[in-house]
Amino acid sequence: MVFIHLHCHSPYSFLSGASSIESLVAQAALYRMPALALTDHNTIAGLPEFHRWAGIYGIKPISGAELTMEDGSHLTVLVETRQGFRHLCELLTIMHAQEGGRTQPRLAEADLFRLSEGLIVLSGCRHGQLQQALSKQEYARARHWVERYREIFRDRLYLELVADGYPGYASRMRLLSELSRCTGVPLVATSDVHAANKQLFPVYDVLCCMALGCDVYTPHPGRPLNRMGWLHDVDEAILRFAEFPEAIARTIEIADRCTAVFPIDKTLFPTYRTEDGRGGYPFLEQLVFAGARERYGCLDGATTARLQHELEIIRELGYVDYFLVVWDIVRFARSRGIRCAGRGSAADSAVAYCLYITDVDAVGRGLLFERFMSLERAERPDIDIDFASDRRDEVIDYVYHKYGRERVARVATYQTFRGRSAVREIGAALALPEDLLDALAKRVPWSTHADQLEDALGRVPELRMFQEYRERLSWLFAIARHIAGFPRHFGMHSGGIAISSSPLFEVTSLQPSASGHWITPYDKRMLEDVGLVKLDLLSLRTMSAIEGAIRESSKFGRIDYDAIPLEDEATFSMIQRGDTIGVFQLESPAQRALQARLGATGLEDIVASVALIRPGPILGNMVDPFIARRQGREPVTYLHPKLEPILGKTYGVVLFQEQVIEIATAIAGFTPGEADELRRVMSHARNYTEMKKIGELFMEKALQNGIAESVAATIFSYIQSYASYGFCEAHAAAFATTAYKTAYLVQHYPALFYASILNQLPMGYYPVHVICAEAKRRGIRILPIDINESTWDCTVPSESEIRLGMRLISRFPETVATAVNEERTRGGPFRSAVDLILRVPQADRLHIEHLVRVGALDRVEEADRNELIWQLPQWFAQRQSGSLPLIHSSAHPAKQPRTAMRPASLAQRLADEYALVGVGMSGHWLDLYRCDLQQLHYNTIAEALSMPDGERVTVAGLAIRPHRPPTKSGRTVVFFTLEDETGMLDATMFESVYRTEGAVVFTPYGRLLGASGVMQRRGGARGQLLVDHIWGLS
Amino acid sequence: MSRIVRRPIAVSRWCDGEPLAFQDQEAVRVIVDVIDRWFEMGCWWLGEGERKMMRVWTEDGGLMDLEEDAGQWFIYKVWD
Repeated sequence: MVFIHLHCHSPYSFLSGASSIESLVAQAALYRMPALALTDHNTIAGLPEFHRWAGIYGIKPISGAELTMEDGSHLTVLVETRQGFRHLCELLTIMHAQEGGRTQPRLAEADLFRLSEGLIVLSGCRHGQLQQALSKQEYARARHWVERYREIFRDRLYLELVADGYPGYASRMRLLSELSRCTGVPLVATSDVHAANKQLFPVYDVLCCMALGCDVYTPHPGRPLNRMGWLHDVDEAILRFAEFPEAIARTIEIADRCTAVFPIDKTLFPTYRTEDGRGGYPFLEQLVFAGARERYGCLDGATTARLQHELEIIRELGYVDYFLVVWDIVRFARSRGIRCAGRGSAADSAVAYCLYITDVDAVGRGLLFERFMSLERAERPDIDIDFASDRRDEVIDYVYHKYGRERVARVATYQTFRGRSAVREIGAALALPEDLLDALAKRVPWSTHADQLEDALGRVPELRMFQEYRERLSWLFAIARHIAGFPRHFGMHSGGIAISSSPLFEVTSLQPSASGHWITPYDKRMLEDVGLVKLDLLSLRTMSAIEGAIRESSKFGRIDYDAIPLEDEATFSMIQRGDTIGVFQLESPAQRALQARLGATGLEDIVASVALIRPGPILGNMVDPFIARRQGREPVTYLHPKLEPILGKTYGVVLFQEQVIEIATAIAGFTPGEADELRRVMSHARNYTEMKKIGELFMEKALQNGIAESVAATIFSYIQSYASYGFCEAHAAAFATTAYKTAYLVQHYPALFYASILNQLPMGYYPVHVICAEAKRRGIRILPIDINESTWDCTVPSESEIRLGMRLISRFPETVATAVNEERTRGGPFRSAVDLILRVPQADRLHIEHLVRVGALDRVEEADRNELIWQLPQWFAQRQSGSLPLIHSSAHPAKQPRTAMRPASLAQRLADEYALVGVGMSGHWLDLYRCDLQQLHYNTIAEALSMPDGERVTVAGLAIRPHRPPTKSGRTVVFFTLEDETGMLDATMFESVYRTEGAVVFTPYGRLLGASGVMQRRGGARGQLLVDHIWGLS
Repeated sequence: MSRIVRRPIAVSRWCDGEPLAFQDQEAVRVIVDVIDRWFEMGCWWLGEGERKMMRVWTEDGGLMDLEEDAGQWFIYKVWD
């Protein structure tokens, strides 16, 4: 006898599926089941992955879903035909589009009946209408339900017997059998699977607790009563359904009826045509060569040959329309003055350069087109384009308009459980003490995955104190390990968009985002599985910051961004000093330290810099050799002469992904297919076993190629270290141009560019107080938020001043800021808080209180901030009752006695300013401590920076962005920056200090730190602190 | 009304792996009807497993829930 599970939930049922899709399919294959159905709650998101694994394990995938009906009951639906799949996609879309459907999708029976063709219906689990009617002994209602559904679905309706082991299940099964006999609607056996095996019950139970917001001690009808919902074998089915063998046999009958819906055997990308009907290969060729003549002036033979080679591959792989679509989008953006630039491996393409999709001259830089597209790989190309963040949506609107809303959708993204969220959510479900969970979650490093928690407890110093709770936390760790890759939250990809040649219902359902966009439930990988192509129209705040600076510069003589000279001495001099806070890609402490040592003199050095500070080159120990060779302090040598043409331009050091591929080809004679496998392992899998396998192949082929074993082994060790994470040269080059140009803006237009950065926060590496501190260091006055001067944005009153804008105030609405601005323009400056309250009715008490707290009324009010806050409730009550007098002076109506009111201290003002704006406008946080610090012989940071190498210093400051990047040795090195009222100092802490006392940096007590150590410069001009002691000052 | 008693019993007669009669303290009770059967998971985080539950009528007119936990049978609940 054969039994097939036709009702099965994966993790895409969100907190209702305890086993990965692969393990469900593997378990079914292990039991030699010829087919398996996937029926997640109200989604088809798991289907592409399900079809992929089913293909690998050789079983037939049956698509379906468990739908929630209007009354909250469940109904199991299976796809019989492709039309049925289209109907299912449409039904899911209808469910999600209704009011409240984003969080609680519901399906009207009328819609189901209207789109019933091609769908098979099983009557549902104990939450189904039929089972509920039987439980309540409403037999007439049960029979009526069956008759209504039979009328619509005819032979596609089955009564679902679920041996779920709940009270009354045996009698319900007998009643269903009786109903089947009376109505002639056949029975089918299912087990409402939520886990691949019995042992996963705790995982399922905890997930349910998380969904219900309760803990394991709380009885709840939504929690599973027993562990019978597992993917059991046929013997168990025979036991469970002993009285109903025909219900078991019917599972195979249904499986035979159902069609596998993926893969779709046609490309779904649209054919591009201009409005006058032009398109296809000749049009692309014409555009490319027209662009080439603009880009290169005169075309030489090599460039022409390269372009023809690329075009040939594009044509052969069928991506002519893809390039035309992207060209069209970029053309639209440029025509509207929307700043954009292609990034990623697309910059390897000269065709993309000539179509103005990228700004990197792939021919001039000698970049390999095959890194982007190749006949051997035949993968879909992936072009990522950055647009100015504040105008990117105009581009997306254009795509909707051009291809039709029924053919365009945003791409989904799934957040999986991270270490911190796993601690909080699983811990709460296990009823572990809140304090313990909070303390643990705050100390778990951000990058820790859910399956690394137990390991982190033994490895990370700041988690050492939790060792004593190890046993108590054992269930938490075990469950976290299991659910590590499970989707937790569904969201919209920041820039991914799918365009289809036919209506998207052919392959996907859609659901609205909070912002009103339609999203497919598929992420990038799933889209590819169903034949759709994703375009990445990314929003890059740096582009908006550039645009903002250009816009604001019109006051002082407009910046011509496109004409920025690429060899500006002052800009390179600034970069050489490492003064690059605010510069795209070059602002991290590691980059600033690198710049101070590297001495960049040209764009090529910036390209190298962007690629150098990546885990790959760092783990490969390539940073120091690169600097030494670049500066001529170390000879450029090659392990083998064959490496010279590959590594010549990077001084014998492996910097770029392309070089790794070329090395494998030159040294080991890798075929394009093998090289591509290496590329895949490097950029996607990063899997130890796969890397070992490819290493063995490399060694074997290198030896055959006549390379000495030791040399081959050393070369492969470079590849292996590099494999972690590195940039391709095209990507580094694309970023480097923007990096240099933003450096130019910082050097020559600091007020404009820093004001523009402040308007785009959060962006880049640093918070608002660091950007302000750096601007001040460059001689720019930071003017506080002022009710009579500030607008929503930060502005630049003169080339040496930045006026902070109201947008920096936490949760302050733009509408109120705009109303303040308009009223000020209309009626003149505000003369008091009362004047403001009267003239701006959009402002509520909290808005005015925030303005007071950040000092925005300091210049118009004699009264202290505390006194104003005290008066606000009364003034607002008077405004509401219409009794607030129209007094335009500082004489306040009905002023309350001030006797008990103490003026706001500096500490209070700073606390408010830092909390609400992120920067002190009345001073610096360290001003409060300076007298004490002086008595304790602390140095200021300005003093420390002026000290020679080797000098001991003790400093205090706000800790900025502590982080632990990977190192070649595997030992931990902590980098952070300290900021006081005199400047900023980068600090490095090695593992010995970190393990004994340095963990404080990563705790809530580490925001204000004291540190002592030795100043050092490591060949650069910029001093750094090598920390040997550190302590919290909070 | 019902009372949870969770009192161990000794099964004296069986039918297909289920009790037919059992010794409850001084009394011998004979099951005349099984009204329902179901399964319940215990506190798995404390090491408890799944329990089999039966609601039965006994010959002397008693309505009670029996529970099997790791091979041992109990009267879990008595209904008045």
